[in-house]
Amino acid sequence: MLSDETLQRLGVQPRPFKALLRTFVTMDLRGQFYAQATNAKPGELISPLFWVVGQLLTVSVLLCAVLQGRVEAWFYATSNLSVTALFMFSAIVVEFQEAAYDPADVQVVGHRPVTARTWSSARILNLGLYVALIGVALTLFPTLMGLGLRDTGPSWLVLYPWASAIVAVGTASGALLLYAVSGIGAPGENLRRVAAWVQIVAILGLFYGGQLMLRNASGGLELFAANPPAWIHQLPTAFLANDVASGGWLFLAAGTLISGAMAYGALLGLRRAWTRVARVAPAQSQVEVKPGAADAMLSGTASGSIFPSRHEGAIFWLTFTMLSRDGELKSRNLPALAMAASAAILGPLIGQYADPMAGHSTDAVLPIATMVLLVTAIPTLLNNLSFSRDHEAVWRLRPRWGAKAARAVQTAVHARIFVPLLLAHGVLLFAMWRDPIGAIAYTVIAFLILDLVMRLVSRTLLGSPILRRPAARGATVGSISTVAAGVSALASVLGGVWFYVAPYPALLGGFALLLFVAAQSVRTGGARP
Amino acid sequence: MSDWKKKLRSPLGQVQLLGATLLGATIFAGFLATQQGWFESWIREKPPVTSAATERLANDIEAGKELPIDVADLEKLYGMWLVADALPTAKVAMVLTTDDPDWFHDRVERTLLAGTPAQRIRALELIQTSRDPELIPVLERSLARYQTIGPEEVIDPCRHTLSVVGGR
Amino acid sequence: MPTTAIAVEGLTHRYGDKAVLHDIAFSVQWGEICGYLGPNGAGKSTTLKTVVGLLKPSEGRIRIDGKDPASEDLGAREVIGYVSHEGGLYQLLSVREHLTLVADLHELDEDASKTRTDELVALFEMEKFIDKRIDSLSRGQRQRVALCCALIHNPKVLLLDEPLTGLDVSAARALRKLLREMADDGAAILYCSHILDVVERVCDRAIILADGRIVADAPTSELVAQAEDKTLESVFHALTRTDKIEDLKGAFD
Repeated sequence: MLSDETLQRLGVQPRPFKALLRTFVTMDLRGQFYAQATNAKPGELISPLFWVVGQLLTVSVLLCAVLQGRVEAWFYATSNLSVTALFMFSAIVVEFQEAAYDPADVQVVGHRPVTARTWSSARILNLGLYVALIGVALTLFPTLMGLGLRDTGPSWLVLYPWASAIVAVGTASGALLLYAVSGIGAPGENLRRVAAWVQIVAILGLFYGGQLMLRNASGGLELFAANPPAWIHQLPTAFLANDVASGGWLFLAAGTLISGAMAYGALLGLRRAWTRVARVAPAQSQVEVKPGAADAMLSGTASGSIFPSRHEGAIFWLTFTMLSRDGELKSRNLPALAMAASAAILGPLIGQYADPMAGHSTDAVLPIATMVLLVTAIPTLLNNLSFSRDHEAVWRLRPRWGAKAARAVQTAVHARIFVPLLLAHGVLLFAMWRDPIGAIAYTVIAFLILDLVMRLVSRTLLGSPILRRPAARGATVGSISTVAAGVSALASVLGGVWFYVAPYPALLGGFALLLFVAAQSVRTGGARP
Repeated sequence: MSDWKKKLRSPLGQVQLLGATLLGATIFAGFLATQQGWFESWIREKPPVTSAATERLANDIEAGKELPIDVADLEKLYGMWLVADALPTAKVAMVLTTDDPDWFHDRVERTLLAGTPAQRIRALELIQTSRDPELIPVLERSLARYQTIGPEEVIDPCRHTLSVVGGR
Repeated sequence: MPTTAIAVEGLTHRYGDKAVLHDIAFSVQWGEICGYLGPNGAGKSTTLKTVVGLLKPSEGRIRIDGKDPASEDLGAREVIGYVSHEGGLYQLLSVREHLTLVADLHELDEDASKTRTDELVALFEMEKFIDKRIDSLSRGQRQRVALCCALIHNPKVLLLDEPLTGLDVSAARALRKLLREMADDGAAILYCSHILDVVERVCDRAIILADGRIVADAPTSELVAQAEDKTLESVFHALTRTDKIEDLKGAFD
């Protein structure tokens, strides 16, 4: 398939194409941290790509296990195909720079005798291998476990992977086309923001289904699967699932043509983006930074009065500024906050966002869940701060990095992310509950929980300076899996306690005091590296 | 650095690691595919434990007392019936099937979808006592579902209930 | 073969509304080492990027060996060797892998490229880290790799943006010697730097850029002769520190 004659007929330079493809695959399989480690910790032997595949296999097997035996083949296929689309889109977009377009290409290849067609073909094929790997991870369990369903036959073994391939290629191509259309000016950043919001909307949809199941003590999933809403049947994945479940091929054939056309369009788009975006090289332009009023005020007062030393004030200002200005950092943070945002948007919409202080009702669960979800974002937010394009400048931070610097980072995260969110959320609660005491109490308790958890995890995640590592595929999640799981468990426990004590003012007050004392007694992390 | 670490860090090593992971996942998936029965054994309703208060309520209903019944009470009575050895008495059955028809339709459908085979058969028996024609579509859907994905032991009782309720 | 290796005419480039290059025009002949000087932010790197075809100029015409470097006809890019200010290396590759990549991109004969690679590795003393990943190298070591990547295909036109950055004395000396040899063999070299004593020693001609405009374009010896202390540094300072750029422009043409 990749013979020199074929490539030449396609207008691709064979030797440069193969060299670039070999290079891209090699870089995919290497982690970013090997060079820094001389005594490798076990985790650093594994490439970030492995973590991505591992996560997807885990999600896939869990979904299949939940559905197995409970739903018919059509719903089984629709669910798995939809999850494939969602995760494929996220994987491509959030790690776009590593997966599809690396700005380093311009510097390395741009002045070489390599045509845009050759470069873009190598990038597309490399992306295709990445899509194939992710697609396999998301397809493997539904294909094999689906064979065990009572209403599937041997044709499932062929039709489901076919449908999954259509979804994978179509979704990845769609993400690339979106980039090609919107990526001018800041390659990838606009697309990442769009994708982050798409994720939020998709998670809203998942929550909608999830709350239908949670609302009923039993049978929620089976009921939903047996009588899904009409819009489910309109999903592209549902059409494909029709064929998969019935042994048909019409929609599969149509899907193959459409996804093939999209892949070709993506190739053209990527090539065009190279010649247009790369040549304009917008990263070269000088950007004037005019700090907003809030930035100026905060940076000025914080450095001088809130912190005991200028060093801590400077760390606060640096963290706050990076959280405000670094588009990549913001894009990585958005998905972490998407779950909580989804719950906070969905709850009021479906009328299940009651005041926990008013009593133990199922309607009061979702506000607590919002907070639990916000707390679970803490490990990701702190871990994201360790990555930066300017990581080589970290030598400036190392000499005096310690507990106080870590505390300054925590304060900046509070100031830039959590406090504004809590305040906005508090206004929403006041509007819904018409109870200022309840809204204030909720906001205070939420802040105390966030602060306690942040202090606890900072010992692990802020022990070294922020902004010290180059960005790496999958590294936003893989290395903090244990911490994230622990935080999730702790947040759930605290949320459960909160739900129980909320209707009793004395207990609630005691809970708040306990949180405050616990937080104050935690020694902030930040041992010198 | 030891040799195996060097090998693992190389691109070929990472490809081998990914391959081994996918192979392991394949084997595990194949195993899970043969465990359909195990997965289906988890499909069951977990009604609340019958309390003394619920038994008192059922006795009061049988005694003919006029009592305010809300959805929470209906859930408890339904749960009591679900785990009891015998059908509820006529008056309790009447309350369950007629006091809140919308609730009954939803509740009994959930059992037909998500109960154990024994629980589904008990739901069918309750439907037979109600003979509510609005449940015919539910029965038809359930029958089609049982014929597709089982459980097989519920097919005949469902067909029988459909004939009783539908008058066929 | 065109007599002029690099020909730039009417080059103007804007970032948004702001023009960073104003009507730049110069040429570099075969066998010439031409220095391209200017203070920070003058537009040196931008000029080089437009000349190699990485940036599409807002206005102007650029020809390398008579061909447009930005076109899909690769003729110009086949003869260009370029070392950028940013380095332009894939950090995750080893040095050997990167050199192999570059050789493949230029479709060099395998035996010839191996010989050339061995020569350059020996010249820049890279044997010790040839199999190390580029992101594990020091700044100077990376610069040596970048130079090798620019020279491996024996370019006829060489564009260097601060090539001595991070190099130690021996490597810098080796580079200067190599540049002279290449120029003597007919290569055209555009040497962009603000280390003026090196430019004075290496370059036949110097173009001085200030505020996006050329304020001097003359043989280095002539420029130096005009200065009181006979150094390029004082000429540079005089031309680029004054408010009256227009008055001095052309004084040394």
